[in-house]
Amino acid sequence: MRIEAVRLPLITRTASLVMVLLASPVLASDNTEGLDDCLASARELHEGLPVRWEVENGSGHGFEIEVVAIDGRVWKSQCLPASGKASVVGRGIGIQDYATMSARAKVAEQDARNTVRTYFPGRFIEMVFDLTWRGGAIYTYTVITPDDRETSVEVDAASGRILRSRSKAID
Amino acid sequence: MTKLSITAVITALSTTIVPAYAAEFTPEMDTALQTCLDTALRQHAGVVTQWEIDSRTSALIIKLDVVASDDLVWSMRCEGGAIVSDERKMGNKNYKMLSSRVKVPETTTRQAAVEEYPGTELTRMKYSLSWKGSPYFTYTFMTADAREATVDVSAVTGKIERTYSSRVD
Repeated sequence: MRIEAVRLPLITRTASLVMVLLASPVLASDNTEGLDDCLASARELHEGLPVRWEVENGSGHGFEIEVVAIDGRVWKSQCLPASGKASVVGRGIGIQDYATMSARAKVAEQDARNTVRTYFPGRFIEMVFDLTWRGGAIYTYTVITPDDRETSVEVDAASGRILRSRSKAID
Repeated sequence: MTKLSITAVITALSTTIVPAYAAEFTPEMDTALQTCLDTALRQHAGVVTQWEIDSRTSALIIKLDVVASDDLVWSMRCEGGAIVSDERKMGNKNYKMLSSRVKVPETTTRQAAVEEYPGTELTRMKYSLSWKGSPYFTYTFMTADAREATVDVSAVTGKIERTYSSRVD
């Protein structure tokens, strides 16, 4: 009876470990966990519009975020997903038109990201917010699909709809 | 009265426009397509190089091209599983080269492409060789959010090589 009492939790623990190991790729599939906290933190440092983010690329520095501040300056910061606290690493070159950019970003970046996640499930690499030559605002996402294709998805920042996408198998 | 007629016009327009984006590629359509392809190949043994589905009509109409084993190209029209027109196209194609490079059946690559854009309208397939000589099937879809999407599937590995989609409105 005593042996049973010791063995049972061990089996349960082993089963739990196996379950966690099996579930880990699913849990790890959302590699933007903590990004929203990091973006909020980056905006606290410099009030403005996040125009670019890149996920952890093995450097151990977490998310890389670029924010165009109200005065048009571009600030680069890094943020660890676990802490959710961004720290400024430097200033980008040049000045950007904050007023135009922020006015044209009618759809929240998080909503655009969710749309991309629905149609192109996979691992996010980066997001770039930019204006086209015609003045339209676009969120461009780079996603690696489960079958190893690099996908670029453009989302209209005015309507939230996907404008175009391209994918190519990674050789 | 005016309000009513405007509503009627909008309703009439929506019923004529919407079906272009609404004909989802169903397993039934897949079966009907396969029946047509098999019938066509019984008529001219060879390799199907392209097909196009017209699902806007009540009966499923499929137009397809077959490169026969004697290198002649046949253009056919299939309605309800029967070939209703069959005519020779100009020029010849290299049947031996086209058929020998296909390692994965088109039905398998079709499934891979459909899984990439589930619940959308599959309009056509084209089999061709890249400039490097790799064979691939290109499928064209019309998505529910009005994008025309193409999916290139390798005829050697059966894997998706590349995709492209763009809004049509």
